Amino acid sequence: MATTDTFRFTQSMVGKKAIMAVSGTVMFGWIFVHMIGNLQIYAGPQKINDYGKFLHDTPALLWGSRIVLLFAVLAHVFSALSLYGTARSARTEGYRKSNTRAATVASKSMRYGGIVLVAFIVYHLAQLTWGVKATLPQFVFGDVYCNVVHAFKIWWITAIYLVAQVFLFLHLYHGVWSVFQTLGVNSPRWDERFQLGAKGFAALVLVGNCSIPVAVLAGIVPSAGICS
Amino acid sequence: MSASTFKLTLHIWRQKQRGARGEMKQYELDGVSGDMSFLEMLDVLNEKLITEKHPDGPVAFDHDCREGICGMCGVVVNGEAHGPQAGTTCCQLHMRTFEHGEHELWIEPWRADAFPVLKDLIVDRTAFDRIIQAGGYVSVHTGSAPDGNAIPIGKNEAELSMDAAACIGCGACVAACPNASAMLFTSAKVAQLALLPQGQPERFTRVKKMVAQMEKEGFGYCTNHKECEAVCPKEISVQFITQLNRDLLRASVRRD
Ligand code: HEM
Ligand code: FES
Repeated sequence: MATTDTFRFTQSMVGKKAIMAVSGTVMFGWIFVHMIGNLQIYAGPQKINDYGKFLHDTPALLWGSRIVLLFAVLAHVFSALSLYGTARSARTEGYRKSNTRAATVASKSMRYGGIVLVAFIVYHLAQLTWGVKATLPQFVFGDVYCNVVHAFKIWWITAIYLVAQVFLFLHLYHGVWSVFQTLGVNSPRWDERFQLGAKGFAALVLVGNCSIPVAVLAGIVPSAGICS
Repeated sequence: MSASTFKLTLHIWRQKQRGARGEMKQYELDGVSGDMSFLEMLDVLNEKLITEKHPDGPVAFDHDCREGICGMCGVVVNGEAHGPQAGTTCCQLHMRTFEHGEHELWIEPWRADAFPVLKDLIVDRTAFDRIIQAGGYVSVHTGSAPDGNAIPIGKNEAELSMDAAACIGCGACVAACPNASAMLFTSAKVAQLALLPQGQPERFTRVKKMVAQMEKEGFGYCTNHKECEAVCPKEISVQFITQLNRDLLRASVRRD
């Protein structure tokens, strides 16, 4: 930190945390919309493939959101790394015996969970956006429905998605509430409602996203005669 | 009154001086009474170490008031700042708390690079003083005593400000924070003035200065675990951290 005359909010820990909160909110908002989009798989191949086509036919929307998201992910990850550095150097000699009272599984998972999420995002994009053959040999551009079906018919791919969703759940369980705290909008009057809301949204994303691979694997999403 | 006494196995951090290598040493202590305070238990241990001419010498620990108001006495007991009892400093913690539980205690100093260990359990907390100093002056009228009710203050604001002002600067928040963050302390010191009319003139420059100093001292950032609030002997709420975040955001978009 420089002197206070040149206090730079974005250079301070509080500012970097605010960047995490804003970028996290952007990603969260997008994940919610993404989930609603994905749930259209239950309406059959026509519906979801049309949705995919609509996005690709509207490049302003597609690339606009891709650029915003890319910036959000980069800002989020770089702030996380920088802040983690300050936390590391703030306690170089740890306790021989440690205990926590208020921290939760979710709040403790933010950092390693974040690493899991980075790995998952890359895998997920490779598999269902870029169509990297090694991740999904049957990939066909534009056939969203069958790409998803082919992937989730394989039990361990479904397992990878479910595990990632659990980490996303934990991340949002703590993170969405944390945003209100970080940006200074929380208050004792609202705290409980923000916490409940965060847990509710996290659970909604968990259930909504997990339902798809599970439904495919269970044969609830039809594939016979549609996907070869 | 519990007439019976019990025996403890103590593991205590021993370190000769600042920068020296320390280690946990084990001591057996018999005759501990539930009516003793935690510090009295350490006094008894020290008496024993001195009379036995133990090569380690007595354990250095900080204390002053022994009535829970000065904030000198904090140590970490079994991984918890000020021990297992909520809202209680070490000096106010009684050994009866341990009578029926664990008879093995791990006693360590606050761990934060901004709080270097001076000897055994004593750490240097002057980083806190520098954060307060960085806050600077408060514009108040000096001279004759002001009229009692010359400046009206709402009851809620007054109460909240007093809640923040209850901070005794013991450092437990830093000790308990997984990131060794001083946000609870700093936010309490910022909020106690920011909530009052007297604190308004310098409100937004003060928060910037104090946060800047907090960061310069090498404390970590806040990840909202709320560990600080859970161990604070004065039960200071993390709502003051929210307020600090809000004030700092506002201060950064204001031109002044
Ligand atoms: C790309 C990989 C990611 C990494 C490495 C990562 C890492 C982190 C870390 C370390 C924190 C700070 C935790 C703390 O200070 O307690 C955090 C907070 C947060 N993350 Fe992520 N995260 C990632 C992805 C995501 C995604 C995909 C979302 C949204 C869907 C998200 C939403 C949030 C939110 C809302 C917060 C709370 C910010 C705050 O505390 O104010 N993150 N993340
Ligand atoms: S010795 Fe003063 S608070 Fe414990």
